[in-house]
Amino acid sequence: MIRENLLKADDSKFITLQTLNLKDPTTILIVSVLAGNLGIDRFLIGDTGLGIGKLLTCGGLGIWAIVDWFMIQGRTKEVNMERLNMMFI
Amino acid sequence: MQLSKEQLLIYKSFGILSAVSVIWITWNLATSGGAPAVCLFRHVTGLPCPSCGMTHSIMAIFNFEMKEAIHINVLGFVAVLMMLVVPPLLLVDLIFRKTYFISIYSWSENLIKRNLVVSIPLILLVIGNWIYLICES
Repeated sequence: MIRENLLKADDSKFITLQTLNLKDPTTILIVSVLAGNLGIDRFLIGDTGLGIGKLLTCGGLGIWAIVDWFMIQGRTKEVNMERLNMMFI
Repeated sequence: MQLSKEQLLIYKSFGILSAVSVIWITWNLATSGGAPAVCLFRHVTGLPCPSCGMTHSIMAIFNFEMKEAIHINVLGFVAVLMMLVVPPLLLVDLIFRKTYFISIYSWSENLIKRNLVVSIPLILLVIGNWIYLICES
């Protein structure tokens, strides 16, 4: 789907594509393991509200922080996809 | 109104968070702060995290000891405000099938993300409070 959209897109989208703020899921996973309790991983991918929730509850009493170790990579890919789709609209 | 997958996740996260917070604070108020400290960050590093002491701060606010609450953790006021607003809103949305919570959530998230006048004082408050907590410990 990404390939099709890229082929369809005109050259003016090239600059926008280069400046797109995409996140690497592995980097976010490392941040989540190291600073997940403070909600830094959520802030980084743009989920500010959930980040504040995580920060104020000490990573959801530690449980949410551990759950996020397994969920954050999928969420990062979703966020990247949303940003790409926004560019093609 | 049909909710997206992301919005449903926000509802579920804040629903579980609200329920756990209310049970946690009630348990602590009933046992006068008898619940154990669960902060993973503190156990690993030996230093307090930005939200350490939040339970005691909230308990102090509920007992109208404002000076004590500021001394323990000033973020307790933000948490009390959220505890007074979020659970009732979630209940209203659940019972009447409305989307008030997600509207307010999206509005406030956008405000924090795009408005530096709001986000910078909040960041400074969290960092300043954390430095204070580390110095106190």
